[in-house]
Formats: sequence, structure tokens, C-alpha cells
Amino acid sequence: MRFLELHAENFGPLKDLHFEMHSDVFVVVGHNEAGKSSFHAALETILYGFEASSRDKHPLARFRPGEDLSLRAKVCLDNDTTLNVRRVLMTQGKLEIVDAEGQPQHASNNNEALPAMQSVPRSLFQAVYSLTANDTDMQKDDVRGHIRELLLGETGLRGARPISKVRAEVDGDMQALWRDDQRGTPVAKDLIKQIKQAKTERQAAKKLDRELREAKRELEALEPQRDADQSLLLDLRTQLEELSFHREWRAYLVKQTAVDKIDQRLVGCPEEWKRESLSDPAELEKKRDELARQLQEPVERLKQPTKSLTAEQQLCLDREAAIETVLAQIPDRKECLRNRDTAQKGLTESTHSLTEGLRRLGANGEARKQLANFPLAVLQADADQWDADLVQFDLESEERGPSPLWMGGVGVGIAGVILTGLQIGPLAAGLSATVAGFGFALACFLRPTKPTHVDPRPELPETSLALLTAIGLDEDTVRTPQILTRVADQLANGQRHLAEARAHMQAKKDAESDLLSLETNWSQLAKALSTPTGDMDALPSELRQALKRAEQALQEVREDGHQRQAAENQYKLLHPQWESCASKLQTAQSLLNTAFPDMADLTQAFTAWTELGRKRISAEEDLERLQGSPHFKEGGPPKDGETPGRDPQELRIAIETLEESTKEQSVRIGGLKQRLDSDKVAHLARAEESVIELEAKLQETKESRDQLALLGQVLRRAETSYREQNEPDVLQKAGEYLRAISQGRYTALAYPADTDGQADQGTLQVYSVEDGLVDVAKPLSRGTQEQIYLALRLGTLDYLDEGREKLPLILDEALVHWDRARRESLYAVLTMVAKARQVVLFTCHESFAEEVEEAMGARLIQLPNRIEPQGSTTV
Amino acid sequence: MWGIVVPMSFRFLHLADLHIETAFGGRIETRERLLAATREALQAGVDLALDRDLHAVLIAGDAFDDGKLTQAGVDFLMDQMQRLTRAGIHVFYTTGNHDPGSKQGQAAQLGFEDADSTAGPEGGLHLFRRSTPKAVTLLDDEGEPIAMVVGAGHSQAKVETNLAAKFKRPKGDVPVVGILHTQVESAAISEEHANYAPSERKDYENANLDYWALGHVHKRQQVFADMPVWYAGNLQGRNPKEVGPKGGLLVELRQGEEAKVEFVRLAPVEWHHIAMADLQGASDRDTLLAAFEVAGQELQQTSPLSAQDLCVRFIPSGACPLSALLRDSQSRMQLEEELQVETGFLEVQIRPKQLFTRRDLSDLERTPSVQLEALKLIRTAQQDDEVLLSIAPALLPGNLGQEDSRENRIQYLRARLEGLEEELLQRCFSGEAWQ
Repeated sequence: MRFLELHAENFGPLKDLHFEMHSDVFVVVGHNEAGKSSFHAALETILYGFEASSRDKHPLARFRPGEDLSLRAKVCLDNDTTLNVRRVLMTQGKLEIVDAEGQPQHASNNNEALPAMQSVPRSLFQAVYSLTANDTDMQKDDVRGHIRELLLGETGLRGARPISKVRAEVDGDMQALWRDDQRGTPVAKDLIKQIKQAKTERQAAKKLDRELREAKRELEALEPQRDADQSLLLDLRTQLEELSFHREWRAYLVKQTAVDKIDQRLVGCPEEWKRESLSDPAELEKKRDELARQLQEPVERLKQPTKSLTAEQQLCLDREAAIETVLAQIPDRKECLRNRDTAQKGLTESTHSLTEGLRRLGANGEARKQLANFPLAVLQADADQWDADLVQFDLESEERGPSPLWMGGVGVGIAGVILTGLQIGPLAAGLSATVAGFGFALACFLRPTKPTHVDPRPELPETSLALLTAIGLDEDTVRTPQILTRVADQLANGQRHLAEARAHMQAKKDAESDLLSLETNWSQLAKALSTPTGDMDALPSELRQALKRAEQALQEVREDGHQRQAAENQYKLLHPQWESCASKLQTAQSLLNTAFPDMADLTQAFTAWTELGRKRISAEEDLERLQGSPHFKEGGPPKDGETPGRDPQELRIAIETLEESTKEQSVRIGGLKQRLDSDKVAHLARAEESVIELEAKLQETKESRDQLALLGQVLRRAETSYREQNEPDVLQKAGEYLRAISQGRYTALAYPADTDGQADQGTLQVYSVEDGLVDVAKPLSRGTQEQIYLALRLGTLDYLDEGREKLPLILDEALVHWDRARRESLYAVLTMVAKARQVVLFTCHESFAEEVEEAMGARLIQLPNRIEPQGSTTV
Repeated sequence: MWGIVVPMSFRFLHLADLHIETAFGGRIETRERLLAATREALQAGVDLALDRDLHAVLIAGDAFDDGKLTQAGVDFLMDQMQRLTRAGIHVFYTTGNHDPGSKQGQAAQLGFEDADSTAGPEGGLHLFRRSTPKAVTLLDDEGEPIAMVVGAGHSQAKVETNLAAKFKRPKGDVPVVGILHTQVESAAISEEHANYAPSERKDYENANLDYWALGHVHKRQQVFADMPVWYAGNLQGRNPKEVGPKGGLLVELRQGEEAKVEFVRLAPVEWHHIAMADLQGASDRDTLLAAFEVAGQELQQTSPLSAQDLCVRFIPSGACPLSALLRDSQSRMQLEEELQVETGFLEVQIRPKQLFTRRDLSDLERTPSVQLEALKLIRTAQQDDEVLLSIAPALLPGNLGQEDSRENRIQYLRARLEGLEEELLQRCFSGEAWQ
């Protein structure tokens, strides 16, 4: 296959660039960053598709983000078929192939290789057909790996993994499962460890089971033995008990005898002597005396006379409520007095006013009597009528005006005012003048000139005249209706005063009545209480004092009562005690003297009595206990002199020994039972099966390992077989190229397996005319190594060409380490190679490009230094 | 009716291969459960015998494994036996290869009496531990014979003589039952058991007994269709090979009539296999897991046991896109764990059998390559022992300790060849090779 044209529509730095590639050899030259690598990538992309599956992931998309990457090329296949190929990378690659006539050959939305490239995977293309400067360093592992792959025919089966890698994995997996040395931590090693552990556990389980069985056997033997010993122990204890019984019975008899002896002395004594518990006489005496001392006080107290209230005091207390009432009535009394006085004052004033009024009126004493019912209305009516008559009279008469003397009156009045105002002369004079003057003036007006007519002037009506005369009023004083009216008014005032006086009189009477009633009660009370009643004002205070005294007396009486009661209680409490104590003392003395006649000291006798009491109780208890003993029940009380034969000490020793041993047996039995109970779970089967399971796993692991070992052997054998069949061709071709490239200095290549037959561990060797067979990697220069590597590639290419498209050979700065002479020899070889396949060289050195152009007739493709997106540029 | 006497039946429970306190398969938790299950199964059998008021329980050997039975196990076993004897039920026990009857063995020390000529009417424990058959006449309360039991036992762990050949029908008008721990040559899966005390058809024909209560082969079966020769099968399945319901045989015999044999399920835990041959559509892990779950559910629906009493071994085979995942022990183990949680089964195992990824090898077969050479070599080795031996690794730790013979070596290597082609293809090619 050859490229005829390449059009980079948008491919990184290559934008709208068209390249004519009708040449067997061409050199792409450009400065750094001009796009040489992109050009290289474009060629590969046309063949295989974009390396990234989507636009956004492609490294060249950064040049024009958002724009699709796009390439077109015209290629010519080995069968002279021309294809137009278009590649677009949008979200995923797109491939269009049309033939020279423009007929669609293939279209796909997948980023797939050209159909013609199916037999040469991309990895193979990169490994063999495309050589860069980095690829030539044979010291690098990946380059060495390439060599192996080249020689082992990594021929590009789809999805095939490098055999070396597979071998390494198989070996690694094997080692991970099992190793025959002690290194690492293979699975088998861990399983062996676990098996060992499990076997230990199994042994332990077996041991445990043995121990449990032994424990069970021991238990079955020990329990009867213990039971027998316990039975013997019981028997010995019984014997000892019998001995004890006899001994205790004897002790009991001794006690009882002592008690009986004393009891004998007390025969005939009062029963209460025996019933009563005897106390120490000394203590009793002391207590008696103490009680007597304590009794003195209440006795003395009770001897004192009893306090009581006098009759007056009692009465006072009885009348306390009344006294309190008196005290509460003090304000009431004061109120009565005030009311009386007020009424009296009012009465006096009213009476005086009445009297004065009547006097001024000129009424006689009769007036007072009739005043209350005096018909004032008649007077008023008469006055009105009289006035009306006078008016009529005056109208009928010529009336003259007032006397001109009225002016004189006015003048006097005014003078009086001036005198009074200026305080000239006596005040009385001024006032008199004022009053007289104005009075006179008034009179002038009031008394008009009498008319000269016949009829007499109306005078005081007869009814009123009679009434007034009856009360002593002079008719002459009532000359006018006005005066009559005034009299009526004064009489009305008098009636009012009279009513007031009567009211005051009544109030006074009421107040005096209340006062009297109140003071009468007070007096009665005071009298009853023998309190002086002369001074009513002082009476309440005196009553209060009397009450206080009575209360105090009562308090004293009560106190006295309490004290007496306390003394009585104390007496009642202590006296019986004293009597009892005295009685007990007497009893004790009598009893002790009787029981112990030879003991003069009662204290000593008492001690003996106490001791006797203890003996009695002890004897009773002993008897009760002994009677409850099985020995007593079986044989009754021991007969005198009867004693069991065995030595008690011996028995005790035997019992102790047996107790000790049965205790140990019980402990042992308890421990065995606990052991048997706690270890019920069967661990033996579990342990056994753990071992079996682990051993099965170990066997499985080994078998897996053996399977992998078998696989490893298969792979080795396969590699060897493959190499034997195919490798010589490659090496032979490579050797021919090397001879040409090295101008005969190196003539052949060899790739022997290592001494163990490990094909992939072999070392590439070259036959040097001077030095013979030499390892390539070690003593040769880099330049020579690169020559060899290139020769190897060329040899592989020829080998791979069979049945495949003859793809271009790409050398991207691959000759940077070659000197001129070496390059010259290479050009000849490449010229030959170019007859079979297109050769593309990339360089940044223009001189090199020119050299190639001259030596090989190569077509130069000069990349612009800076690519501007200004339409299409043909290069 | 007057004048007609209905012969009395002899009713008994035929048990065998109890293997008390042993368990072989599964995780630790499973084995713990199985250990308990062996006891529960025996207890269930005793409960059944008491409930049905049987005359006897026959234990045809391998009641336990001599080296594994603990004192606690002895106590348990004897407690159950005493429950039977207290109820008047006899126990006839014959020793097997795992519980031989030598004096040093535990069988002889349990508390059973060596079988005597008569038994009854009170319940008793009768032991057959010698190779010479002994006949015991079972008497009823009136002292009348009900049946006869003839038995012989393994006196040693590895008895290789034919004990059945010594059996003869004793005289009498009552049913006669033989009890023996033996390997009948024609019995199903007998090849999985050690060939101890072998016997063959003619032995049973010659003895002419009314029923044979056999033990040793763990699969329940009537050995001969025309003769009442039965294996009860083991009482509780203890590993993935011992599948299905387990228990005993309830037998009723009347003189002159055919034996009525009824299987009674006694084992509380069961093992099951689920073959899965159609996994071609399981392209991802979840789908694969779901397929297993569905298969597991189907089993559970048909089983009377709850999930936690079921142990299941899934056996995927055939083409499966995820064969690599299933072949890898780590990922398979994870899958088993997940499946166990999802299904609730006591134990889940996945054991692929001849599982492979479907591949189109045409490209490979026409492209000279190391891979092709390797494939050819494997196929050749499968056919040619010499080739196989030539590529055999020098060191085969898995075959160490085995018989050092060519045949053994070839057999071992041939077993390693199984699945090797799949292994090669899986390792040499990534997934894209087959897309």
C-alpha cells in the first residue's frame, strides 16, 4: 500500500494542508512544532483510525476545540486499487472509503482500521513499520521486548497478548500457588502451615477426648470409693457421738445434783421466791435507796396547800365577757355624752331664739303655747288681702307722691355712710345715721300722702287681729300688711325654733336614756364585782384591772395544779417501784439466807445463786438435748458406769483423717464432673475434618499449580517449535540487510535460546567479521545496535509481507545517531526497500532532507513553520 | 375371623452409616451444623421408632468413626439407645469398617451385649461384631418368636472377605432379617466406597432371607429389583456427594409376604446439586448471579426444608461468557458468598464443570503463531500419551506420594489436561479477541 495524497482538513497543527505523496520515498521536513509528529500520526490514523475514541479525548483536539478532526487520503493498494479515505472524529470516528471513481467502498461510524489493515494490527504496525529515534535504543527493555516479539512472531492475532507476558504470568501464578523452596508466601505454604496447626488441634482434641474418657473412668471409680468412705465416716461419727453422749450425760448429772441440793433447802419456801428472778441484793438496796431519794421531792410537793381563786376573782373571770363589753362600750358612753351635750346646746339655742323672737315680736306667754298650732296661713292671707285693699284704696285716693322729706332722709343716710366709711366719729353714730336716714326715706315712700276721701283706709283684718291679740300682740304695731306678713314670718320662725327645741329635747332625752342604761349596766357589774362605782369614767379601767388580777390568779392556780399533778405522777411511778424493790430485797435476803445459810455475805450468796441458775438452765438444756439424741431414744439414759470402749481421741483422729480424704474425693469428683460437663462439645471430628479439608485444598492447590506448570511447558514447547519453524527466515533476511547496511562488517544475526532452553531469555547476537559472534546489547556502539535493529525490522517486514499489504516504512528521526558513512550505506538499502514499499522519513534537519533527496531521489515535503488557517495549501 | 390367625408383623427401622459426629463438606459453619445434624437425625429416628411402637431398630454398621467419636458422642449415642430399650424396643447393631468390633474399638465398649440366641421381651442392645453370622430370635411378651435377626460384623477396619456368603436362613416360621455392612458389587455408586466385605448377588440368593438390611453404600437403593436387599443410605448427607433426602427405611415384614419398605426422611439438612447448562446469556456478573438465584429458588420451592437447612452445589457447564470469572477461585468464592447471603442456603458451592467461553478459533487456526502451536500441542497431548509425557513438568507436587508408575503419571497428567485448552485461550487472548 502507498499513500498518494494526504489532505489534513483539521488535524492538530495541520489545517487545510494538502500533501502530494506520489513517490516511493519522501522526506517530511519541518522545524520543531511544525507538525511532523502529527503528519506521522495522520498516516497512521488513515490506516487505523484515530487513537482516541472520541474527539474530546484526542490530544490534537485542543488545537481547535469543538471542531471535528478530519483527514482525507488517497491510497493505492498492492493490487493497484486506489481508495479515497476520509476520517472524521466527532463523538466517535467515522470512516469513509470510496474508490477512485468515487464509488463508496466502505462506510462506518466506528473508528476501525481499513479493511486492508486487518492482517496487520496497529500494535504490529507500530512495532515493526514505524520506527522512531526512541525505538532504537536496544538497551531498553521495551526495545528488547520488541525484538523478542519480532522473533516470536507476535503476528497480530487480534487480542493476542504477548507470549512473554503470558509465560511470566503463568510462572508467577505457579509460584503464588506452590514453590519448592522456602521463599515467598505461596498458597501451599500457608495451607501447610494451617494443616500443621490443624493437626496440632487434632492432637489436642484427641488428647482432650482421652482426658475426658479418663476423667469419666476416674469418676466412675472414685464415686463408689467416696461413698464407702462417707459411710465409714458416718459410722465413726456415730461412735464418737455415743461417747460424747455418755460424757455429756455425766456432766448433766453433776449439774443436776448440785441444783437439787439447793432446791432441797428451799422446800417449803414460798413459790414466788422461785418464780421471781433473783436480783443482786446489793443492787436492790442501792436501787431502793435511790428510789426513796427520788420520792422525796414529789412528797414534799404534795404536802404544800393547793392554790385556788377567790370568789371575786372567780366572779371576775366569770364576768369577763361583761367586763369586755364594758370596755367595748367606753366609746359608746362618750358618744352618749356628746349627743346629750349637743342636744342640750341645741335646745338652749333654739329656746333662746324662740324666746327672743317672741319677745321681739312682743308676744306674751300665751304665744309660746299657741305657737305650734298658730294658723299662719290666715295671717298671710289676711296680709295679702289687706295689701290688695290698700292698693285699691290708694288708687282710689289721690296719691301723692312721697314726701319731699325723703331726700332729707337719703342725705342723712349718705352722711352716715361717709362717717362710717371714713371712721369719723363713733361707729354707732355713723351706723345710726345711715339706718335712720335711709329708713326715713323709705318711710316716705312707703307712706304716701293720704288721700282725702271718705272711706277709711283698710286696716288689719279682724281675723288676724284676733289672733294677734290672743298672743298679746298690740294691734297698733301691725299697721301694714307688710308688717303682718313680717309678723307671720316671725311667727313661722318661732314655730321653727320651737320644733328645733323639741327635737333637741328629744335627742337629749334619748342620749340620756342610753347613757343611763349603759351606766346602769356598768354600775351593776361594778357592784357585782365590788368595784367602786363612783367614777364612771374610771370604772372600765378598774374593771380591767380586776380582770387582769383574776386572770393572773387563775394562771397561778393552774400552774400549781400542774405541779401537783406531776408530783402525783412521779409518786405513782416511783412508789410502786420502791415497794417492789424493797420487797425483792427482802425476798432476796430471805431466799439467799435460806439457800446459803453459811454465807453471811449476801453478795457472795447471790453469786452462788446466779451460778446455780445457770447450772439449772444448763442442766435443763443438756437434758433436753440429750433426750433428743438418738442414743437416748434408742437406749434411754446411760446406766451408771456404762461407758463405750473406744478411745474418743482415736476416733477423732480417724474421723479427721477420713473427712480430709472424703473432702479431697468430693473436690476431685466435683472437678471431674465440671470438666465432663463443660467439655461436652465434640471437637475431635471438627479437628479431623479441618485436617482433611486443608489437605484436600493443598492437593487442589498443587494440582492447579501442576496444571499451570503443564501449561508453561506447553508454551515453551510451542515457542520453540514456532521459532524453529519461522525464526530462521527472519534472521536470515535481517542478516542480509545488516550486511548491506554495515557494508559487510556484520554478516549475520542469531538468537539462540538460553542454556535452559528458555526462548524468551535468549540474547540477540551478531556475527562480526572481526570479533565473531557477539552479544548485541553489550559491547557494540549505539549506532551499530541501531543498524542491527533496523536490519531486524527490515527482515521482519519482508517476512510479514507474505500475504499482507506492503505497508510504508516510517523512519521518524530514526537516523539521528548515524554518521554520514552509515547513512550512505543505508540509503542504498532503503532505495532497495522502496522498490517494495513506500519509505517515509521525518526530520527537522534540512541538510538531512537534502541529503536523502539527493541520495534516494526522495520527494521533499516541507511543512510550514506556522500553520495559518487560510484556506487550502498544497505542499 | 374364627380359625384364621393373622401372622404378626415384625416392624423395624433400618438405619445405616450414621457416622455420628462427622461432617466433611462445606464451610466451618456448615460442618458445625452437619455435626449437630447427625445427632438430630438419629434422635429423629429414635423418636419415630418410639412413636410407631416398633419392635426393633437395625443399625447396619458405621454408626460412628472410631477415631472421631468422643465421650460426649458415646454418651449421646447410648442415651438414644436407652430411650429405645426403655420402651421395649430392641437395637441390633452390626459393626462396619469405620466402627470395627475389635475389643479395642469403641463399638465393643459402648455397652451393647454380644448378640445372644434370643432377645426379648424387654428391649436390649445386641451387637454383631464377629464375622461369623449369629441368629437372634426375637420373642414377644408371651415368649413367642416374632422374627429372627441374623447378623455379622466387621471385626477389623479392613475386612476384605465376603461375609454375606456365610449367611444361611435359620429354621423357623417367622420372618428372617439379615443385617450386614457390605459392598455389593453391583450396587449404584459402590465404586465410590472402599471395597470392604464384598458380596454379590448369589450370596443373597443362597441365603434366601426375607429382608437384608445393608450398610456401607451411602446411596439408598434396592440393590436387586427382585430381592429385598436394601441399602438404607447414610442417615445424614455430610458432603456434596451425598445429595437428596436422607434417613432410614421403615420395614414391615409378615411371614409369607413381601416386605413393605417405606423411606422416612430423618436428616434435618440436605445437600443438592443444581446443574446449570444454559449460561450463554449471562454476559455480566449480575445476570449470572440472578440465574443462580432463580435456580436456587426453584429448588427451595420444591423442598420441604427451609433454606437454612439446604446445602447447594451449583454445577455450571457449557458455554458461558463469564467462564473465566467462574474458573477463578477468588471471584468464584465471592460469588458463592453473595449467593449464600441472597438465598439463605446453609452452604453454596459453585463448581464449574467443563465450562468454557464460546470462541471462534478460525482466525487463530489459520494464523501461524505460538498460540496456535500451543493449542495444537494440547490437543495432541490429549490423544497421545507420549506427547503428554514429553511435556510433563519434571516436578509434580500434586502427584507426590502417589504410586510411582507410568499409568498413574499419565492419569494424573490427563486430569491436568482437562480445561487446559480453555486456560491457554483465556490467558493468551484478551476479551477483544472474540468480539
